[in-house]
Amino acid sequence: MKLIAAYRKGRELSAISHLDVQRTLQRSFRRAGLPLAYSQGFNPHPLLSFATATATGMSSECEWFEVQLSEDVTPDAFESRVNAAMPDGLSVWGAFVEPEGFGSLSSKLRAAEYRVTLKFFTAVDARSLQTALEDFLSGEIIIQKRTKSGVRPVDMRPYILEVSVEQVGDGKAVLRVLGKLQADGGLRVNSVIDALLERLDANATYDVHRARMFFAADGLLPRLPSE
Amino acid sequence: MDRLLSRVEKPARYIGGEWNSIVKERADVRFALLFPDVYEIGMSHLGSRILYHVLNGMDGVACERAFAPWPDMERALREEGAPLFSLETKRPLGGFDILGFSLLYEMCYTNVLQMLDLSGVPLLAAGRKEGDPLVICGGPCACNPEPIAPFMDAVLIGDGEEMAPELVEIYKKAKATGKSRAELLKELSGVRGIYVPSLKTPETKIVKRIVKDLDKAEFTGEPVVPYLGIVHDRVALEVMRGCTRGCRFCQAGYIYRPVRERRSETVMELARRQVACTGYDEVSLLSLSTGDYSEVHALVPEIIREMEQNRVSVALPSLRVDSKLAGDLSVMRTVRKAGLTFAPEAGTQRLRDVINKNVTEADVLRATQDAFEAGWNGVKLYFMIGLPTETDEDVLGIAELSRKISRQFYGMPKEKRGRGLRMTVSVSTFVPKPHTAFQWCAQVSPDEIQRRQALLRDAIRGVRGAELKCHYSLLSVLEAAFSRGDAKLANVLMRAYELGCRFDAWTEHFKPDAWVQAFGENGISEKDYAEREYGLDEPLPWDFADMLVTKDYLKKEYLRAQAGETTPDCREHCNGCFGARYETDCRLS
Repeated sequence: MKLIAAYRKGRELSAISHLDVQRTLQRSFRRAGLPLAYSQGFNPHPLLSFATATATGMSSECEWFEVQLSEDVTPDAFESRVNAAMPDGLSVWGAFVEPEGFGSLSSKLRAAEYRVTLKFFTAVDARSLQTALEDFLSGEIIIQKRTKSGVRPVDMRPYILEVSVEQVGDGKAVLRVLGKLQADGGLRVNSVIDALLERLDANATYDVHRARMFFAADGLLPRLPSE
Repeated sequence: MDRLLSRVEKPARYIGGEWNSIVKERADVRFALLFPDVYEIGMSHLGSRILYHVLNGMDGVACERAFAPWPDMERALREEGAPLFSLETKRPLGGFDILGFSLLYEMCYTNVLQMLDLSGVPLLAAGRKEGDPLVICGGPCACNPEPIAPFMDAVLIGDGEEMAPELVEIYKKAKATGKSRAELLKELSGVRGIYVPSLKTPETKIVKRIVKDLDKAEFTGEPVVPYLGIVHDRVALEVMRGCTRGCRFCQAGYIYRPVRERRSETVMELARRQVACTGYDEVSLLSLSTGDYSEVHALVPEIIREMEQNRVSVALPSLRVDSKLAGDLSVMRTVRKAGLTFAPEAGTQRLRDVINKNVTEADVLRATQDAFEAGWNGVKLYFMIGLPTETDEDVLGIAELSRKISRQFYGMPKEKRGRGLRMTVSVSTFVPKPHTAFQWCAQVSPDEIQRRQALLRDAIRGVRGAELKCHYSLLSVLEAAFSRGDAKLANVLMRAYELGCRFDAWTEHFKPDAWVQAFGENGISEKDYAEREYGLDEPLPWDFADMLVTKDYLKKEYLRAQAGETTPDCREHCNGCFGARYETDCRLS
């Protein structure tokens, strides 16, 4: 059987890479004594796949994944057993049994919502931030994207669905960013925030937190309210 | 903390919080277990895993970890004016009661100074006052602690799993009763295995500490499972401590005597428990020579069979050429196809007899034949260049043996063997080590080493499937200097640290010029130490450390080496290496 669930990656673990998380999930599943199904071949590995990779430095509420088991386990049992074997900062939620012919998570993935918390070294008021943001979103946002064949400029604007200022004050600001995220590419939040800071001529540190992931409508996974 | 982490390449090295890590908010004594190399290396060290478990098992004691910060983190700490901190509670190390270093190789010494410095602790023991942490060290380098001794309040010589808790217990009482630092050190110096450099006299003799019954000794409990991939990322099970072979160059073979074993049932039980509590999918059976473990033929097939059911593979490093494990090889292959490693060490029988590596060419060829027939096509061979009495013929013998193995592979019918041979011939430079039969010997000069390497490179060209790995580095000269060094080298070490030397074992950080300068400014040369030939009756800086094997025995072994005579494995016959002392400690005698 296949189960679909999401894991939460807390702030304290934002420094670990996707590969580290993958390894940690596999070991947690083994500690939980789950009947994992393995791939064939010389180096069998547990059948575990992700909607998308979690960037190093990012925390998240909702990293959806799929795991294949060789015996039936109820979603509730899955969650409680795994959570008892997970280190602090990681936990699973939202598990459900994957129906036949469901398709892959990565092919269904459409968008994600991010919460970006900025700490400014210089004072920034709500109005100037709002104005700068509107100006920023009114044209192309060219970032330098690193690819196999070198660095090339890419316009990030088409990937941005929505940006709103949630909170400003005390040298802090919280932005909500809704961006496209698909198997063939998506919004690079960090690059866009860097570009925004450059436009603002401001210096800040920031944390990126993935708050929600949205998928093609299928009645089971979260989908964009606008769809 | 966030600011520091955002500035370094692998922040996961510093965050702690791993599964099975132990955080104690309250404790009477805080012990910082320090490893003077990067996280991925230090976390792979079995001894530290044992001590972490044992010390955290003590009442009122918190044992926390810290590793040498990579240069990017060192820079960040200095620029932020922040002290080095522990992974568990992020406490500055200067606030700990005891700082304990594991010293596994000499070329990590500059990182000891780096870690002390970044903790704000005076580097020299003489400069520490009441209230400063007690700085101690242990590990194999402690068998000649002189180059590092001035930086240490106490040095633990021998097995640590009983000695370290004993030290902590004494510390705890001293702290509770308000004893002075001097009184504490005096008391510690009375414990077997503990050397207090500041109290050293010409009469000082430190007898190394041993755990008598390894089977009953504490092991690693529930080991920490890192997020980061570490060097040895698996369950490590120590099946045996010590080695009976008596290879004359091998320090571990002498200083870990007597041989002690864990019963195979104990190993099986540990394997089950550790796999269950870590979630690892690989276990490794560790010892200096697993093929010599008395129950190897019972344990290996059993552990492979049982672990396989849970998709756990079994790694068997340190399996010797002459181990009669050919039958088990085919079983091993069903789990995971790892490379095979053999260590003939020398190219000719004459030289193998000199070093007492009791392996014949026929042994090597039989083992490679078995391996090739079982479908392996990757094999690694380890050799040393510059061994005492070595001639050009011995060097060329390395190429000759490689050629025979290559011919053996390609002589097999195509359908019976793998496709192409991948034979790595790895050649390191001999480093004379204290407490070995070659402790008196000079290291061959750098020029001569390079000449011999060139000779070998020419000779091995054209051996099909062979890849030669040998390089020259000042590092092996420094290793020779420090392993046989005396207290004068502490000044060199201090100067090298000031000149920016760190992570010397890492090619990208090694600063040979700074080292040469540090020696020069102290009016000595690394060559004076590395190439020094000691007389058999001369006093040696490490004579005061009694590692149980007597100097007389080592002398005898040295003379037999010169005569090309071999010494039998002590499982066959007791050679009297402890000199009629501590006989009850060795169950083989």
